[in-house]
Amino acid sequence: MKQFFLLMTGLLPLGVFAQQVTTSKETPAETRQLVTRPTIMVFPFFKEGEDIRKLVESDVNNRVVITKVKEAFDSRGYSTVDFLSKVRNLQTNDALTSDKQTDVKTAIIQSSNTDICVEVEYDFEKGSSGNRLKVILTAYESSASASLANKIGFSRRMYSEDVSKLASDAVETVVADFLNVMQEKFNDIVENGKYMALEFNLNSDSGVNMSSEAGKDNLPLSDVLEEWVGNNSKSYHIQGVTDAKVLFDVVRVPRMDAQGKSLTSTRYGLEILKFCNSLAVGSKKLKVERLIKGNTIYVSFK
Amino acid sequence: MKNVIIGCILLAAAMLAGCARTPVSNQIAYLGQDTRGTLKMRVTGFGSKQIEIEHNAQVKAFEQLLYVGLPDATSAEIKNTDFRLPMVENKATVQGMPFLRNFFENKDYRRFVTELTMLDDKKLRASNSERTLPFAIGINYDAFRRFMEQNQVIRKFGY
Repeated sequence: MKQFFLLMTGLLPLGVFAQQVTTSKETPAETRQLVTRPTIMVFPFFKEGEDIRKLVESDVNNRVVITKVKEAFDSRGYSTVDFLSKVRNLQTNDALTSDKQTDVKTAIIQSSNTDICVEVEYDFEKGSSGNRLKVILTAYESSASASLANKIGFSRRMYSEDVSKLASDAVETVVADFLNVMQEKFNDIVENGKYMALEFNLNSDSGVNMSSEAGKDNLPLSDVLEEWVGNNSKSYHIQGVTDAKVLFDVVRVPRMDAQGKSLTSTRYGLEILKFCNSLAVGSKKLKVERLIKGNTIYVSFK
Repeated sequence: MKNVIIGCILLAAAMLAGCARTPVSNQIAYLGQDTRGTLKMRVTGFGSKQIEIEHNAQVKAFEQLLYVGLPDATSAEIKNTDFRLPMVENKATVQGMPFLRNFFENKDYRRFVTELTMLDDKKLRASNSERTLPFAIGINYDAFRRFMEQNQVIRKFGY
């Protein structure tokens, strides 16, 4: 009997270990489950200084191209953020005043908190053998600007001046493949983590800098932060380190935490906040504040 | 010496018999689109009976869409790239799924077949017992994709 209990005691940790392994790994069926539905906004390409609202409202062809792309997303059961209503909402904001035109795109993306931007552009070509239309579709991730899909589509040559008809024809030739390529990149996100950007900076009265020794090993603060990001991401890229700033332009974060819950930018930001608040430089305990815009997290040491 | 010659003849006969059983490769090509969300493709099926040949051709058509894609989807006027990429990114992750096995074994795929036309009624010999026949197969692609999404064979749009 004693031997039986000893054997059971010996086997118990193995059982616990086996449980941990099975819960921390995603099964293929779980991998196929959607955890988050990224927000997507389709908007027209516009040059610096152009009035984006006028561009869409005065040009029906632009609206046709945008609608055709949105229709393709709808056919996959996906709803996009309405660009025009976002612009109208922004009109009350200073961002649409003429002297701040260059910042309009950023303002719209940030105000909509959209994860993925799809830019559409068209070009009407007249020719002796008929007219045709070219559409350029570009999708990118808003925080890290990682390219997701790029396609150029051409309509058939027709003896027609009806640009919207040609636009519809041109979009239809490539939009399904455009979405398929995007889905391939989404599969990469499932495998290698979603994109985030991190910016650590200092308040003017913080009294520390990125070279100050912090943490248990008394390493420079920038290195302590890099080590934490390295341990809590699938991969990352540092854009630069100065005494005042550490910029991670790409951080690939798992889409799920250990409990299988969606790891959003706010929840990831909270983990960073907890870690930074646990740090100390000498006898001074560090305090931080965070700001999250879409998938970009700004952390300031107070 | 006599035994060696007989042995060689038997070996050659066995090799020839082995070659004869090699099935002809299945030819798959894009034929066109009648309406958006559907496609028509030419597929060569093989088997010993008509029903087997039809089943083989249809399974090949769906497997092509799932695992390979149709890179030659080019019509006379414009290039159609809708089916260029396979629906499934990694065949190994889904191949053993009981749902997919049943989908093909129980011929559930027939719900998405809009057309099955024999392109040639002359059966070509593939081996001693097997023949091949080319078919034009129409598939309701959008419905098929949605069905695969609902049954978690492929991911819904998103991550």
